[in-house]
Amino acid sequence: MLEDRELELTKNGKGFILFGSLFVIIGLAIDSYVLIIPGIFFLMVISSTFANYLLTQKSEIEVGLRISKNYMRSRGLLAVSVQLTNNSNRQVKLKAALRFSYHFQTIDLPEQVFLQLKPQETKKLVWILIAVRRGNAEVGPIDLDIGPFQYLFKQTRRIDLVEYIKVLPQRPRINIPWKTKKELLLKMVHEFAKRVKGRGDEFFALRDYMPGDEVKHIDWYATARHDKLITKEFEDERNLHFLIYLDLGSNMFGPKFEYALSSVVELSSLIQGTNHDLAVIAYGDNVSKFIVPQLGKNELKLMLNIYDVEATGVESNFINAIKFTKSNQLLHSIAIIFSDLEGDLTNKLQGLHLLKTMGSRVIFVNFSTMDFNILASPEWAIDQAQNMAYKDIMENVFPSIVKDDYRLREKKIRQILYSIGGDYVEMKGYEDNIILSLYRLMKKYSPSQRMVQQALGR
Amino acid sequence: MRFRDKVFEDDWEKKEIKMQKFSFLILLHHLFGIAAITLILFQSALSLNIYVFTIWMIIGIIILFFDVTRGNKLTLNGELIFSFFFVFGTGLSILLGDFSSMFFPHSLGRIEIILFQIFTGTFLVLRYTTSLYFIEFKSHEGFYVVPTSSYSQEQLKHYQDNLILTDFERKKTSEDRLAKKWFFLLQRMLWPAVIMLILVLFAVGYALIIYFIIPDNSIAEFIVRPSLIVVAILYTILLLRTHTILPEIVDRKDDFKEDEGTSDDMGELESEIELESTI
Repeated sequence: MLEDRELELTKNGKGFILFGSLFVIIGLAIDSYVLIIPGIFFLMVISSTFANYLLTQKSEIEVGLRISKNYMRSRGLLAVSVQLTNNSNRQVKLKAALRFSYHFQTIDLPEQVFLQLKPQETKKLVWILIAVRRGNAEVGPIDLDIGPFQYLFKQTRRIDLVEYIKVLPQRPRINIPWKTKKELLLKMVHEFAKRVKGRGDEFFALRDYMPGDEVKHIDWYATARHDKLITKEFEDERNLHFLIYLDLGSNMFGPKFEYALSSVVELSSLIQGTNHDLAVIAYGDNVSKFIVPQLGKNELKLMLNIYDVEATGVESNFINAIKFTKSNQLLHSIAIIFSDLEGDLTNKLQGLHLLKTMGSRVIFVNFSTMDFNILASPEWAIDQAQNMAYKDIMENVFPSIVKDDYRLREKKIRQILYSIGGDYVEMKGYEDNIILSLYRLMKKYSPSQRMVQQALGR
Repeated sequence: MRFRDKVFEDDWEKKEIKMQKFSFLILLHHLFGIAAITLILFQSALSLNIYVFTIWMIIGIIILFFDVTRGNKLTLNGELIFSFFFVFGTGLSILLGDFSSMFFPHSLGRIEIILFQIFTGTFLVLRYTTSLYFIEFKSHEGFYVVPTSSYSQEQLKHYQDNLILTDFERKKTSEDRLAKKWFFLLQRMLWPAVIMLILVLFAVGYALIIYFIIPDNSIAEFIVRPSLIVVAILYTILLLRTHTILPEIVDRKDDFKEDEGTSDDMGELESEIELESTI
């Protein structure tokens, strides 16, 4: 236990000494008890602080700090217990203060508590903290102010006990049932999986028997019906390779980025439970993180790695990220891109073309909708737009030029995506969910919907 | 404001610990100040000196004005300003009054003057004590959050219920009673008070001896008081010196501890070397 002692006679303390001597000297000189009595009082108070220091400086106080968990979600609760033991033979009165980073706030109990410790007595203090921000938080150190009149004579012991906690983003507000998630996965696999005819588990079709086919695969009912040898054909389903691209550029900042990040985590946790491969590529100017969650003991640790990602200040370069995937031979994958429509759009369009040449299926998730931009724009804070109606905001904060430009960009990216057979998903705000959006997208691919689309000539 | 912040504010209410808006102690503090001022005003009125009376009248009004405007904000700085006014007023009344004493001794007897002054001084001390106590225990600032919505209340309740029989179980920490706190403060001031009393008794004894041996006031004026003044100056120097020396004492003790530690290490090293040599 490292201890840092701080000792200081404050400005007020010096004032007390000065006024004490002044009062006593002038009072004695002019025979005035009005001044002598308070003067003696002033000197007495200062003497008492010194005496208290000399008496308590030997007293050893043992401090133990424990926290209930090492990682938690934002808006979650954390219990911190501090155990104080007085090892000396003297009674000590102190003010214990728990210091912690800005990620926390205390509940019901202030940071400072007054305590009296008898000789060899142990007291336990429990603070319950609520996490209000995500990030790498810390609890500690503990400050002990020993003795009275800290305003005059500061006597603090700082105990260097620090615990580190990882605060993850808060739990998503929409709870999607597992059934929906499973259905979504099945649909995605059904749509995107590359099938290889031949040996496999999945039944594909019936066909005429050819010499060389295995006898055990002959469908005898069909043979009886058609009066000729008919065999079953099977297909093999290959694993899918999911690649998640997360934009860390300067345009993705603030709540928008936080929301994109939590969406990435939600999607990757869904895919991770299956036998499909997954990789997360976080890119700024260059690829800054490449995370491959694996099954096994370190699964959670690797998942937590994703939360360490922070948005960078530089403009992102999508082509560099694609080059990275190409050099690492991550071909024929399903690329899900979490990005926006701001900044250099040609870069993104070229990147999408490159992806196509690598034989990947592309899903572009746009976080650039009006709702996100309003929250991220400085006008929101300045004009106190939270008190305005949504319609007014759309008219005042977003001029029509911006809206037109936005629509143009959306049109461009949609055109490219349809030309390369990709899909476009728009997150409509904080109430939207990535799983639900993908579910909506996959519904478009259902056989009945496809028939309708074909009939309409689209 | 972001949506999630809005949600947070609906669930949790931020409570700031500030100085109390009205406290019995503050009232007492003001009353002691007023009492001291009234006594001094009364005395100056009895002294029949119009200058002295007006000076204390003005100072009294200023102090009262400060007290009222500051309200519940008790600071040590304010108290020091208050004491400065007393020194200032005394100085002015010496200039405009009599040389030998603060007020005219013609209209008031010496014992009456001493009684008045002792009472005023006591009230001042009481005022300082209340303010010191208030600043020590009642004026710490900070903030914490309190659950307001039913969701957050339940969240907290469930969390606390789950902590039962663990290291993190929370029991209500009760604060000390008022009397106990007072007792603690007085206890801390006991030994210095005894030392000061012994000093004062010595001085009084010395003065009495001189009075008995040489029954002349002038010698007492020239011997006793200067000696007491010298004692006060010396004590002030002693306090300032102690303050500078205190950290040095701590450092020196740490050095000793380190020395002991190194000697132990050396012993261990030697024993290890011996062991190695035997192997």
